[in-house]
Amino acid sequence: MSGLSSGLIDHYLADLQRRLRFDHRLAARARADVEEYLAEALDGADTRAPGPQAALARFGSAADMARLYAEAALPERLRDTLRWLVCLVVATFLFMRLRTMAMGLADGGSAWLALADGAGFGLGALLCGLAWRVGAGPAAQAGRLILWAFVALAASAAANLLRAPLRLAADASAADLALLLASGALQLGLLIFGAVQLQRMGRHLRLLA
Amino acid sequence: MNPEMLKGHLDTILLATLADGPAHGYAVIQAIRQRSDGSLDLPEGTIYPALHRLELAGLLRSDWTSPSEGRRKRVYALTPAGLVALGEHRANWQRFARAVGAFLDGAAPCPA
Repeated sequence: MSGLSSGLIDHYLADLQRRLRFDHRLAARARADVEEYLAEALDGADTRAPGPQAALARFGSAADMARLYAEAALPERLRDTLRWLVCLVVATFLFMRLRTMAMGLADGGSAWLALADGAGFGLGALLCGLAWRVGAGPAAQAGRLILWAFVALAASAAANLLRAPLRLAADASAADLALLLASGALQLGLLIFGAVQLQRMGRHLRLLA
Repeated sequence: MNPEMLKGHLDTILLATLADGPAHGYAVIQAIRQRSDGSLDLPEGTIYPALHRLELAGLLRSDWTSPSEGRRKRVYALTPAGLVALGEHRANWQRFARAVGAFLDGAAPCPA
């Protein structure tokens, strides 16, 4: 293979991977498929063997290929994101209940924070359920519902985490503080992981827009 | 054949091609070309993502073959779910072909 052809293929593969960089596994898969196809298509044993340029032209542009692979992987991406969202709903509920019961958050405290805590969770769970229902339908709609469910759950978690220190300010025990710090750190970790998942989903959807 | 006409039938064609036995991507492309006498000369770029999509949907599975000599290849095979899906696709296609055929044959005139 000439240097020019090799450069053409390298450029094509790099372009394809760059377009799919939001999903490293998908990018690697697309690259492996193109490499396998080119190896077969350029094999001398095939009498119809085209040149690298013709073979790539038959395969389609890197932009078209990235789009086709992204389309193929979108249902899996939405399923993964929805599964993570359900975990977030369950974790938010469990931590909320745990802190409320262990620290007596139900009594007194800021009414606004209590409202944001409860309403945010309810709204988040509702939107998660809706996203699950439309999961197999329009991807952009499911993506928007997932985004708003995440925002609502993040607001609920933030409000609940703020309520605890306010409540404990006067008579905090070491056990309460440990519970607050541990559960807060875990919840924060889940939210950061979720934000990364959402960012990837957004880039995936933007490629298909 | 106009590629637009194949929209919606690509999955059926791929599943039916792999019903004959496991094959790697390029062999699938060639089998489609040969079995259709060149009528279905699809752009290769549409085949690989479609195979990946069917794999993610659980209708195909893929494994790398490691021959003693030569390149490694990803070989696709139908899963039991893929076999069931192929049966459904086949039944749907036969119903559709019968229905359209009834119009094209022109056997029955429109009622007055």
